[in-house]
Amino acid sequence: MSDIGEQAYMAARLIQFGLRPKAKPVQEPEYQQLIARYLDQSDFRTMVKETATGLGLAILEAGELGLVLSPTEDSAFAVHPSLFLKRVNADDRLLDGLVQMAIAATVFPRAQDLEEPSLTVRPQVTIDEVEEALRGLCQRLDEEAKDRPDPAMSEEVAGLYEAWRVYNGRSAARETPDRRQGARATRRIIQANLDLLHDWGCFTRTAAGDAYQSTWRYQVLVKELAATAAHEHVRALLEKEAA
Amino acid sequence: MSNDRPSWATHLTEKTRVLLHILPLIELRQGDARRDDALRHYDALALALRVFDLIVDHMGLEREIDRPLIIRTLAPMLAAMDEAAGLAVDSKRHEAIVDRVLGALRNDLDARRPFVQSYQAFTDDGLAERRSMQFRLVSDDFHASGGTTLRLSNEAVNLFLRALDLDIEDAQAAAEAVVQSQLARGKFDEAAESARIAHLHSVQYKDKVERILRDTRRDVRRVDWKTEVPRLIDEAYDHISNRLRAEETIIQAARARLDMLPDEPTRAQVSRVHDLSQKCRLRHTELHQRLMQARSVFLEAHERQALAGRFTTALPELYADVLRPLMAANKAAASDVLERSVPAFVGAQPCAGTSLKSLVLWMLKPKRPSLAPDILIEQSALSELASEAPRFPEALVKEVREVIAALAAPTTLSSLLAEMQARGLSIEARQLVTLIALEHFAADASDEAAIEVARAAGKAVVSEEFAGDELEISNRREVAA
Repeated sequence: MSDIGEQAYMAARLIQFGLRPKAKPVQEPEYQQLIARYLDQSDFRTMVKETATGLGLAILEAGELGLVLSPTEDSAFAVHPSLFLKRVNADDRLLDGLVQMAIAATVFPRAQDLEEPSLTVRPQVTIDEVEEALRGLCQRLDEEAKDRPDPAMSEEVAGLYEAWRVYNGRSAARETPDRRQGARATRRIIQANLDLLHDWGCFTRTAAGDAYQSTWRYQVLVKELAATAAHEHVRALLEKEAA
Repeated sequence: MSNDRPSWATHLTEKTRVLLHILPLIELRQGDARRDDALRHYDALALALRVFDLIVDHMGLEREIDRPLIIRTLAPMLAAMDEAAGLAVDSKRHEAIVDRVLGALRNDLDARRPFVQSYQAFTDDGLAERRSMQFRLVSDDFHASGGTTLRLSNEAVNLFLRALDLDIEDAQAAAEAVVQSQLARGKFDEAAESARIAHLHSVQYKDKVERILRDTRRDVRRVDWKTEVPRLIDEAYDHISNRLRAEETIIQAARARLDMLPDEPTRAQVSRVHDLSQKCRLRHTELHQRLMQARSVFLEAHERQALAGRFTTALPELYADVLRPLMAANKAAASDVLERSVPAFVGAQPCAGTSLKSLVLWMLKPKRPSLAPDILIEQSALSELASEAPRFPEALVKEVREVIAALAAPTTLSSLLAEMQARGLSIEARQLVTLIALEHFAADASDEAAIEVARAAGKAVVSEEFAGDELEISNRREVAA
């Protein structure tokens, strides 16, 4: 294999490890060697970055804990809320997105928290905390909306009423006839999203199973890119609405 | 106004800041008296300082320290406090007090945020002003092995090692010189301790450079790349060259001592100095690699942030600046923003391929039966049963044994079966007698059976119900006679 061919092969191997969120360099000698090579050799680093860019990936962090990759908006590796839990209903997809944002906000409630080193373990989150955060917001927005008339039926049909009303319209818990939690209840939606994040290597479950712990990978993703990118999208939306 | 006021003011501020770092420890100690009765006899301050000691001991080593290891290591100390208070040792109580101490050091009460202390400072002009400082003592950090580990902040390390007002590089150079000198003079205990402190300084120095690179990646404007960082990088290169040389000298000196020392405990101490110095050298090699990347990190960050623009904005409050506006937006607009924003929160995920096998398995799964709302479990009257249910009723066993006992002369199994059938005994009785005969065939010599059974050579059982070799059965009493 030529030098360039070998470098391209190894660069792709490293990206492949980065795409397996639960892979750890400490458990995979090849991964460990590739990370060391990435840190040591600038030409290899360039090759990995170029390959990643071509695949629609940005390298956020590379170190002894692994490689963290973030997808660009049009990347084949981006998972949009509509694909999260294969929801058919638009309201369900909206709720998945809001819950994801509320989970991140619960892990990093203040701007200063985003400045902490990624290595510092954040406090655990529970379903109750995320539910309380979203319900609390709904309550405040509901109070603010008291002086305004209720949304018209036509607005409701066209999806022009506020997102909080969708959340507010769902009960926190709903029991099915066979005594399981109804999938449409908000607590169940939060749990499903946390479980999904667990499957994707963003959270671990505590031994007691009642709380979720963010992983280093998730903390890097939120701190290094996702939080500021989401904020920019929201700012653009607000500016558009104001115009 | 006197000329020495600025230095007086600076000096006072520095000392005040140092002292403020111990306030969480004082609060922890004051909490001893307010704790539950069961935990009141533990000295939380002593435990906290021992926790510091343990973390320092494990910093930068392959196996760092976590909560379970802290609990295990503190157990003898806690047991001693139990004993002094006249209480029995209780591991649950130990866990509870260790969690209290760790919680206080991590500031669990304030969601593990940094401690915030305000203090009175004085400007160079002698004006008084209130200032606020934030610091951590202990944090949970991710470890390469996948778990978490307890780490001391730089402030806590400096506080604990009483080197708060020393420059890191100077402290390290001094520590290494001390090690060399101590090794040369044969003071191995002290050399081991100094090497440990030198190792910690190496860890801190590496952290310092990594912090600059991390801040640069996040927002290039937060770091002064015009004068401050280039100066620091140049200094760091010099520092590393000097340190690598010093560490090499220490390693060589330690090796030479190891070759000469016959005494086992002393060898262990010098060996520890040798290992720690090697770790320092490794740490500095890593730092060297980081420094080599530094300029490219800056250029990449500059390019990315200058061109993209969006990453240079101030960090947002996710509740107030992102979640709340999204909740207040109309659902179509909110969905659109979420659709574009959320993928970055979950990172790159490999595309899931369609699996025919999974589909087939899913389709073959039985439908989950819907349960009745309430399932009543009837309480049964339970009674003791023998471990094995008998195959034949007791009465039948007794009857068959009587038939066998009544045998006056040796007979064959075929004849016995025919006789029993003629007497109207059931098929179960005939099965039982056959089983008893087989059971006693070639029995052990010690077996005190009532009958003796032997194979009749060349003959077969004559019966419609049974087949096989013919057996000759004789009563033992008959045989004895």
